Amino acid sequence: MKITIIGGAASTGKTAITLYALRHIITKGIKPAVVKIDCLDASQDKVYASLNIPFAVGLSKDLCPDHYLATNYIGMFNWAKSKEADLLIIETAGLCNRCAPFIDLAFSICSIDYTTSINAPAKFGPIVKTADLLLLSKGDLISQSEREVFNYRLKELNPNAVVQEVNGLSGRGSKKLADYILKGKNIDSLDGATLKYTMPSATCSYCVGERRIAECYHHGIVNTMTF
Amino acid sequence: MIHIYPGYNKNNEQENYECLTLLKGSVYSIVGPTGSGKSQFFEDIELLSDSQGVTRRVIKSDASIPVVAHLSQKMNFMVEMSVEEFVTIHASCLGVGDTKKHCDSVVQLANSITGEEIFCHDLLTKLSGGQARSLMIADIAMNPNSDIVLLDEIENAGIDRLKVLKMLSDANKMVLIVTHDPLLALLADFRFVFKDGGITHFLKQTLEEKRLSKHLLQIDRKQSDIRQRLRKGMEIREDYFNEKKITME
Ligand SMILES: Nc1nc2c(ncn2[C@@H]2O[C@H](COP(=O)(O)OP(=O)(O)OP(=O)(O)O)[C@@H](O)[C@H]2O)c(=O)[nH]1
Ligand SMILES: [Mg+2]
Ligand SMILES: [Zn+2]
Repeated sequence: MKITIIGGAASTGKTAITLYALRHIITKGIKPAVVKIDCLDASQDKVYASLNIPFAVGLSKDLCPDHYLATNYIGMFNWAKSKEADLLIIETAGLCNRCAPFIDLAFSICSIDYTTSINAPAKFGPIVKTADLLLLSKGDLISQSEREVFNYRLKELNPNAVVQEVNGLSGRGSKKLADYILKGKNIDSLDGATLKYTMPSATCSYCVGERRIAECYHHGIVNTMTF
Repeated sequence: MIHIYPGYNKNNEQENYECLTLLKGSVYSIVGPTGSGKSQFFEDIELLSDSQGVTRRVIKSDASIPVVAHLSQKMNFMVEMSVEEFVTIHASCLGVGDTKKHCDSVVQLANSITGEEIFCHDLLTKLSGGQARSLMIADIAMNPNSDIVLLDEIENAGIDRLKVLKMLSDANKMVLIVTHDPLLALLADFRFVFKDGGITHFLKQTLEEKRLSKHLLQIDRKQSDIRQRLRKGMEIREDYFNEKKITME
């Protein structure tokens, strides 16, 4: 089975273009399964089920979705296998730019919305740097010159990734995306897999539900600003 | 230079040509009703489609991967920067040496196709539709790296569209323009006609058409003249048409 992970901020167009790519994939006789990881709600993503393919949702609730994802990779892999899928696609809404959800054995796609301003790449961290493919959507809304500057800056951050422009409304670029997804390597198990990037630690009192802010409640790893 | 080999339309009929070769410095118009396959054709060109694509049209390029610039009615500037700041940043990404000089040329070029003057210190997001469109086009024309320019219905953008075509072909770009405007369609060096997802005709502009396009040009001038008059609060009278008819012949 192949695994593809599509991560990126909310509403960057992950579902829209993946639906188009899945249609190309299904016509080739390949059986996909899809899991969506989100924090609180993933009702928008139910459209995957309309393709009549196995679809599951995982909600991380109070946890960082990336930490949650890391602890659920094996479970999702086994679930997809039990559904006799040839390809597992995991869509995840990476939230903080400090995290990256990718693992070494999966094909890693970072979804980016062109309309987030050409200054955005400076704020992107590991999720862009560890991706195999940078998926750029909504280019239909901004100027050619801005797209070129955006691309240039992303290339500086991750010179090795393939860049694919797509349009989630028309499906433009979805066939190329499907081709890349299908080039991913086949794996039998995730036993030897590792995260591409260390996740930040959640080790202070607030990670586990503390709400009082006085100094005596600061426990664990604390980093206070110096003025 | 790109070469196009026949694909299939929505009725699974093969397109009726052997190989079409498109050149830099030429203008190609693309006509056909909505849904006739014009946008798909743009995608085929941008991605150099192979026989596995929707249209099964095969497109090959002499340059390894052509750099394609795309401009449509829907595109806007989103970044909060002045014209000068942004054009300079873009120029440095393109590896242009003298960015100040480059910026001045871009703005000057843009001003040659819009009636409302653009200034270097204007904010991009505050530009009018026509100003933004002309700046986008001038920036594409001045981009030494781009080979192919795809224009999607720019006729309503408040710019001198005939000058735009000339500017881009003078800059040695291969220009493809989707248009519903008969004048633009006729003035192109070549014309693609689309129906049901396929190319039905590929025509070279004839000498007769070139000659006759002058008439359309007259009608076009007259229309913009009437537009100007209406904007000035003038009335349009019958003698206006009569008088113009005389000067036309
Ligand atoms: N103009 C334009 N809109 C797009 C494009 N891609 C997606 N959209 C729109 O953007 C919105 C969000 O798209 P989704 O595919 O739901 O985004 P997502 O990344 O899956 O969002 P979450 O799952 O909530 O994180 C939808 O309204 C899409 O129609 C695009 O290329 N151009
Ligand atoms: Mg989604
Ligand atoms: Zn996180």
